[in-house]
Amino acid sequence: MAMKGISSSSCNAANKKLMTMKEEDRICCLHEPLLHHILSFMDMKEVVQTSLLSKRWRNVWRSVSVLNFDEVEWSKPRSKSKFKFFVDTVLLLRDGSDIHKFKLFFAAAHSGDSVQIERWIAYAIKRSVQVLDIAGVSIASPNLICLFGRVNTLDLGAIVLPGDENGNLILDLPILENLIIQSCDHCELISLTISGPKLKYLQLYNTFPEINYGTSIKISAPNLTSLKCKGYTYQDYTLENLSALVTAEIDTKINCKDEDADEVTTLNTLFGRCLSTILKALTNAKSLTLSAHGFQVFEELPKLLDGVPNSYQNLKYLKLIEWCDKSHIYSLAKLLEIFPHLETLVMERRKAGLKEFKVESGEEAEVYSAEVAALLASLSELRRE
Amino acid sequence: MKDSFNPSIEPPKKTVTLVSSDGYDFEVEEEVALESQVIKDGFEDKAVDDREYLLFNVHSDTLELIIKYCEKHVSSRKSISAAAASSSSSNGEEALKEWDEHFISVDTNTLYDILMAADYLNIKSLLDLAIQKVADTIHGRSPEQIRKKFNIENDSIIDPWASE
Repeated sequence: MAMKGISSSSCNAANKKLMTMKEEDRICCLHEPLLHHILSFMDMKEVVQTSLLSKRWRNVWRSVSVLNFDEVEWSKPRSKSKFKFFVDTVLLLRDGSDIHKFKLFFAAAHSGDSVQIERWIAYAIKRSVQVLDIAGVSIASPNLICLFGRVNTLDLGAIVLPGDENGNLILDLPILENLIIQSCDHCELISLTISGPKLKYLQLYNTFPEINYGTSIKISAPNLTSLKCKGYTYQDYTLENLSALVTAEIDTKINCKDEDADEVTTLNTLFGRCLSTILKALTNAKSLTLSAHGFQVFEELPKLLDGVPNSYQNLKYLKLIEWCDKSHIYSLAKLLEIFPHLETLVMERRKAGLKEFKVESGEEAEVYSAEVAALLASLSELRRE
Repeated sequence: MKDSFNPSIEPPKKTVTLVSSDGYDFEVEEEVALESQVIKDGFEDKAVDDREYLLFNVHSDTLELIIKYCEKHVSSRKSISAAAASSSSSNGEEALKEWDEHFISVDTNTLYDILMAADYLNIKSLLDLAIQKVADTIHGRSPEQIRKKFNIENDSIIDPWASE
């Protein structure tokens, strides 16, 4: 950078000019969209409080388009009714402008509150809400589930998903593009169907080792470009037509604390079957991230990958995470066989702190069999992290 | 600045001249100026020898900071992608985050200058950074404390927090 015509004295003069402006109220000079942008980072309780600042601020909160309601901000004893009253009042008093994002975190909600919650969500949808972030609401009624289908982005965290009398839940999401289901409890469900013709991004994160295991997952999303499966595996997966897929991250594991060897083998077989079902559906992916939890299974059940009909013709980038042991080398060889056009392989070590696994000191390359070495030689890049 | 523009040695880099509200010229590399969406839109329509932008709303002191920010972001984007290509692991993104954090730790007045300039020039990442900083400053403060922090005059008629 070159500066022409700036001398240090003129800089000082400019600084002095700034000093004299110091006492001005400059936040008032910001135009409304910028004020709204600032308020979008804050909880509604704080947003409404700004109405006390000055006349300029009195009505700014009424037209914000990002509404964050978090019960934690009201975490005093018996604050639940205050929180509900607050949400009701804000929605009543705000002007009719559109809502972009509506976030509700309401951990103390119980079934009696569901009508009220439905009303809030329905209000947001009437105001064309795009992003719905609902967390901690322990009861989601079927009516609420229906409302979910009318937004662009849906983030469900720690919600109990209800099913019909047969234990089925169909999430029919005709216009949804992004869906995150995280730490949701659906132990009553036999099957969870996600149907989203416009869905582009899907993340399933199951943090419960046992209760959700019995649910079968069905996904129908022909336009899905990015899929993330994290946490504990489900019993069964049905993935229909994922031809648009570009990136996938499969980091699932099985809850395997049982000491009984037969039991472990059975569980591993089931897990392996799930993994191979998922892998078979991802054959169009360009970028794939896999965790070593899966490798262990392929170790014992090498035939599972044989069923993958077409090899991954498009896969350029493969990242292996939780990598911890040379013994996965056989699985690696198997995997590399089905990725003929791989360009980049990244191996990320298991993070320190998990002591039951031996962490390798570094020279994995030494133990590669000749076969793997040949496969690796065709890569343009190999990275170990 | 160590990478100052020197046409006699280095191959001539394309530059753009930015003129601050108080009339100072800043000559910056094209890609640095293009961090601003406002400059980017309509950049191609301008003749190559007429790439001068009069920034009526940006004071030279602020413009200097803005240019510093854009240069840093352009250069670290390059080094991050270079590190990714040369198979060395890098913590470039974290380092940049730290740099951002340090960059935006300024007094309230400067913060507003940066915020308004980033809005005017439409530099999204910088605007987000400045706005997040303002939000953090408001967060957890009582109305009276916020007024003090931002020199807001209390002209409300009814004010339960009024100290008088």
